Amino acid sequence: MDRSKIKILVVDDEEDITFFTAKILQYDGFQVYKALDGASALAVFEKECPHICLLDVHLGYSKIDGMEVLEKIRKSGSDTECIMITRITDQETMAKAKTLGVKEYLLKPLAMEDWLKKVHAVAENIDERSAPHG
Amino acid sequence: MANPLNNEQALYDQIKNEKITVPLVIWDLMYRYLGDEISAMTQITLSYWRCNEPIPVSDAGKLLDHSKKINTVIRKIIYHDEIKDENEKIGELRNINTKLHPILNELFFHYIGNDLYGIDLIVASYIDESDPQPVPVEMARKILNKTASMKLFMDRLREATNQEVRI
Repeated sequence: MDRSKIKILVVDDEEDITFFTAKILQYDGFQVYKALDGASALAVFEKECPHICLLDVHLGYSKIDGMEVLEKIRKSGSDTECIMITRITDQETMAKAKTLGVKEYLLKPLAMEDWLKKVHAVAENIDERSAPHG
Repeated sequence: MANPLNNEQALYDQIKNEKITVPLVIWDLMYRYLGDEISAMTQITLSYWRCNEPIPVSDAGKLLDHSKKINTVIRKIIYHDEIKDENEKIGELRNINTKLHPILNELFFHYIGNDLYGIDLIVASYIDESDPQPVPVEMARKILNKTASMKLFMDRLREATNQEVRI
């Protein structure tokens, strides 16, 4: 799998989570983009057409939250795989995200490398079907 | 990981038998705020551990900042301490005055408190002001074990207090 061809957008309002998650994914060879709020996430999405979007549901004081970003990505017709980052108490949001085609959730608190295995699994699938992007 | 309490099983049995619960709003806030801070600590540490690099002093300092925020949340939930910093994003917690059952307080204090204290000790011992040093890779593994332990504790307690998961 040529990870360098796979673009991943990381969206979280907590700067350290975004920055260091991106650092880990870059170390693993992916092309990584970062956004701290919904508007920036959509701007990066439109420009870079990422294969995968790691999207926090709750984007703090951002005017556009993670669910809205997900909805806009789906409405654009893109086949970007969205992995939602949320918390286990947020069942309603998870159910809604599922109807919008989200296959994976990363549950906060993130611990060890469990979350990374999920990202790799999704990336592997994208590479196999060579999804056209960009 | 924090050492188990001698009476741990008895405490969990009591939670089950007496149907001791945590209000959903409290769980929600805890997962929201502790979730962010523990995740940040995990990602900072993991990003260096995976590269087999020591954690530089500046980023090790961030671990202490996140630990401090977790402490603030825990103290608010357990002791109802006032949150004085208006800029903190944990503002919603100011309105939470529900007292948790003393058993839950004991468990929180022991497990989250000890893991945090352990991380603080590891980090502070290296980035001491007089001679700050990067935190070695083997210590990063210990820090990751402690962040994982906090998550495990939260999950176990949530299940014990009957906060059902329906994914």
